[in-house]
Amino acid sequence: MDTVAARPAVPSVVTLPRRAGIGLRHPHVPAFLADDRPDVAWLEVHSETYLVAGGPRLAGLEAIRRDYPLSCHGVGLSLGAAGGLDSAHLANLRRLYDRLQPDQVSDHLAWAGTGGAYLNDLLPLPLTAGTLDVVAANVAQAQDALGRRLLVENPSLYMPLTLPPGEEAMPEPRFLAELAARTGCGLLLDVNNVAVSAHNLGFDAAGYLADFPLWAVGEIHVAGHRREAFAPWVGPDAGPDAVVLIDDHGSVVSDGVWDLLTGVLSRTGPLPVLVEWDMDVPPLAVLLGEAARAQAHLDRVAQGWVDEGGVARHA
Amino acid sequence: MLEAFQAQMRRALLAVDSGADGGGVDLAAGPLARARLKIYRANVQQSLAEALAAAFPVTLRLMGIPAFRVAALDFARHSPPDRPQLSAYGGGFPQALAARDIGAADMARLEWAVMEAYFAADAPPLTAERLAAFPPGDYAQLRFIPHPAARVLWLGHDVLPLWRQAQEDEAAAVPPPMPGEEEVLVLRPADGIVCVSLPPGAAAAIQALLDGQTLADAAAAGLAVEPALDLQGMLHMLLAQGALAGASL
Repeated sequence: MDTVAARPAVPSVVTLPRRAGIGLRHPHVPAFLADDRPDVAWLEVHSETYLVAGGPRLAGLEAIRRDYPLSCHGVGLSLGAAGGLDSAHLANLRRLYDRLQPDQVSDHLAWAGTGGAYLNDLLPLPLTAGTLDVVAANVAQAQDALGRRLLVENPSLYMPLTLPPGEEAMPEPRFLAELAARTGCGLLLDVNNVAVSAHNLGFDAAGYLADFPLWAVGEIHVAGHRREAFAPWVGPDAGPDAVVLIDDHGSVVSDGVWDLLTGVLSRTGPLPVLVEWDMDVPPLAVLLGEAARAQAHLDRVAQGWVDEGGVARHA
Repeated sequence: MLEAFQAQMRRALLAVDSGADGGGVDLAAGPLARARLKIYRANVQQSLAEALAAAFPVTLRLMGIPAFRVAALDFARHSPPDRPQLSAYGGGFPQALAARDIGAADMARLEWAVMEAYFAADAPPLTAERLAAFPPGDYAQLRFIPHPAARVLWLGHDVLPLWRQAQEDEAAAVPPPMPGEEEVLVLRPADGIVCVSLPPGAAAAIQALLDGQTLADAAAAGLAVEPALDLQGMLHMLLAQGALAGASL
């Protein structure tokens, strides 16, 4: 049998186990350092949390990393920054990644600061051809400086942007497809962010996912979001019962988001699925319970798929 | 367009929320976008204030949530982080607090030193055995490499006992500190933080050692402040607590 022919021409964008993982949070670190290790397929951390010179936080992660596949998820590259990337930050990340040797690294389609200020948020971008040039150049620079392929995540959005005359917005799936084609980066599809942005900006989540370049996806995120009454800021065009969805990663995954996940997995086969929980972090057992739910979705879809040289194909 | 948008939005996100204004962001046109801009503004400012609350938890308890929140939001608007590394954010906060509450500012200085020590680089400590390898006659000319976590603080309030109490009882109120000279050595032996209250002479001598002066010069600096300083006891304490990472002649 010619197994070589079944392999993809380029290294697979999927480098984590095609199973459910969880975000590693500080309150759960002692459980992962104990002899009886929690049963989860892989872990993800926020890269910037570990940009420290030394001490117990970094030492703890290094010890845990020996036992679990690891994804390093960045929030500070500011890939949409018009002024370019911070080379000192890139060098710090490179040192961290060389030390931890993560199985995968990622960041967001967003900007997080400008003019020497870091704003600690993932801020929206006008998705024009000019912005694509900026983001593509930044992603290429980041991949070069980090010596690794980057996965780029679709953001959660709250604010519609109005472009000046003569500028045209690209739909986000097309923008990400072109970004992946131009830079060779992979994509991180956050289906909770799709649900949040679709609600807040009034587009159709299913249509968005139908257009999404799933061939480039190396990881999926699910998380909880909060519904907030929009009344305090109500404008003339918002109805009386308008709500805004806030992507706070502070609760269980909603039924709608599980449905979106199922729809995606039925088209891709099993992929690494991460349960994110950052606010009001629950006991580890609750988080592992959410991971078990994600795994059940993966198990259901896995029956129709086989792994061929790192690529999932219909059986 | 992108550069102008980001500069405008940065200004809008770090501004005080002034009600009905549009924030001066051209791309955020219309009432819906202007209202939604406030979600980002709240996210940015609150998350930075929360980062400060995490770095200065005892200062927060000392000041109370409302006063701390006002000070933290004001600091976040005027001095946002200069890099995406929140463990390094807040070094200027103690000084910013000094104009509001000098006792709280001293507590914040202690907490920042603890934070820096916690994240400092790792280094194996100098052991008594390695030190014993130097000829006793040369001790006066020894210079030490400080452990990266070790630092001396000169404070104007008795914040250390209050800080210790706050570690033991996470629910108890933190009373206002009393004015008074206090010198503290902050260290990270093994994996935990240790704060040692120092006599004034020892603070001067240890700072001289951390600065790379010879043992003889450091001793002179300490004895000038405190003629009865116990130099041998001080050196034992530094070795036992892992304050030194190496020695050379």
